[in-house]
Amino acid sequence: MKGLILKDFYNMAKSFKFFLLIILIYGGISYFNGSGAFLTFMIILISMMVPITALSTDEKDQWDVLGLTMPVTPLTMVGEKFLLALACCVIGLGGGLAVSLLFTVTGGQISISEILSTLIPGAFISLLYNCVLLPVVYKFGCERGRVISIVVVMAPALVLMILEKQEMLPELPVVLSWLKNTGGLIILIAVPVLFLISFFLSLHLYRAKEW
Amino acid sequence: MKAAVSCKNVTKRYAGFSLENLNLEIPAGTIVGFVGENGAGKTTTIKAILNLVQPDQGSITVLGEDSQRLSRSTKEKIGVVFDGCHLPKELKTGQVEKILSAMYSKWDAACFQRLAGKFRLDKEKRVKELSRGMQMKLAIAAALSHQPELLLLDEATSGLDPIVRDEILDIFLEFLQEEENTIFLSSHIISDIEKVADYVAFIHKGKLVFMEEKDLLKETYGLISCRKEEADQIPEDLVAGSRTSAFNTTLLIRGREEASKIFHREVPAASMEDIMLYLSKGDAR
Repeated sequence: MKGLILKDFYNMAKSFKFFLLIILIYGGISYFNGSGAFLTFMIILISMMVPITALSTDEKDQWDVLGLTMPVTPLTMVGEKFLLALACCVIGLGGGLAVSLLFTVTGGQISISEILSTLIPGAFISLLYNCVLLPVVYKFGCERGRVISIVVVMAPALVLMILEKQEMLPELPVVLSWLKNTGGLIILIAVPVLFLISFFLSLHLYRAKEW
Repeated sequence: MKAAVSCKNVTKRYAGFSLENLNLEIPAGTIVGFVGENGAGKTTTIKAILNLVQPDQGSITVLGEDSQRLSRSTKEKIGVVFDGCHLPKELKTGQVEKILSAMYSKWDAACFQRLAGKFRLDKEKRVKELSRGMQMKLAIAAALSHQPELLLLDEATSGLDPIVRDEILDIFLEFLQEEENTIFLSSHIISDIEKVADYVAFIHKGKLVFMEEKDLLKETYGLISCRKEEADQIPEDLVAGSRTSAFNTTLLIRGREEASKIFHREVPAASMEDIMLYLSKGDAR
């Protein structure tokens, strides 16, 4: 596992520098705009992109053909990618918190609670996205997986738009109140469960592959 | 003799190709050259041994274990080099060493350093910046640097210049100095096989045609040109393949001594290339 994590870290080193730059830029935009939305959006996007980028690099290198001849199991290969997704989510949260603290200390217009209220749901969304994306990629490969995942992400948005046009969506304060109470608890439990289901499904798909 | 790898009735079917009833034993402590034309099934065989593809029938044991349930400790003893470098292309050579040392418990840093020095591998160069030959050298250095007992090499020398191939073959011979070490080298470069192999296994269209000691092949197979009338007199069981032109017939003989008596002249030994050509493309019998 350590070797696999190191490999992805080295592979992504250039990308990490680029991501850091993006975060700083969007952090600045958030700071001057007085809204945490830009930064949160960027952090979510980056933590969604990192595991798929790592998988894509492995696919391009045909790494798995060689990797599976080494003392690693399919469980380790897949587990490492899910760990990466989780780590990105946690780092994204941590990074967002750090930036919001910086905003507060430098007298910015946005508060920590405001940032957290978008960051925490954002972290869950990024985990949820990876729950859907990773098994799709293991099944169909990165290119097709990306297209399918866009459809999967756009579909709920489309449904929400249609519901809104039909005035069938509940009011935002109602939704927020639900999220703060029961809904939040459901999401807190559901997302980790979905994450585990996604992991075992990915493992099953990976084991069935031939190289 | 103990077998490092044993394939029993291994069959793997694809659309348009199948590996049929492969029975192959790789004796421990030897170099087995695995030859065959492109698409004969060499890579499929190696991938089946490594459990990268699952056979439809049959069983394979590797270093005494079922290939589909290889333990971590057995995988530690297997070194693999494929045609084409599958190491991460963006990584520097030094970084490749670091990840492999984290993956193998018996990583031999001194061995890797020695081979890297011998191959003149630059630690700061990324894998993608290396030439094909240098990438293969890196892959070979990596495969040799964790104290393997079994090396599986799938066309590891193809596309390399003769000087580099010679260097690499010498390293393989050095590796074989440990009695328990075994090499299974698939190649369509016959001269490499002729140089280092103890045994030669020839695969054609998914079927194993023979597996013989290399020196015995030279004693057994011969190539002779003769008139058509002479060729017709040779018993069928002595003729492994033939090619007929307007003027004469060339026969690949399986049983040089016997054929020499019939021809009343010595039947020259066939080269391995001739054996492959006649068994693949000639009118094989």
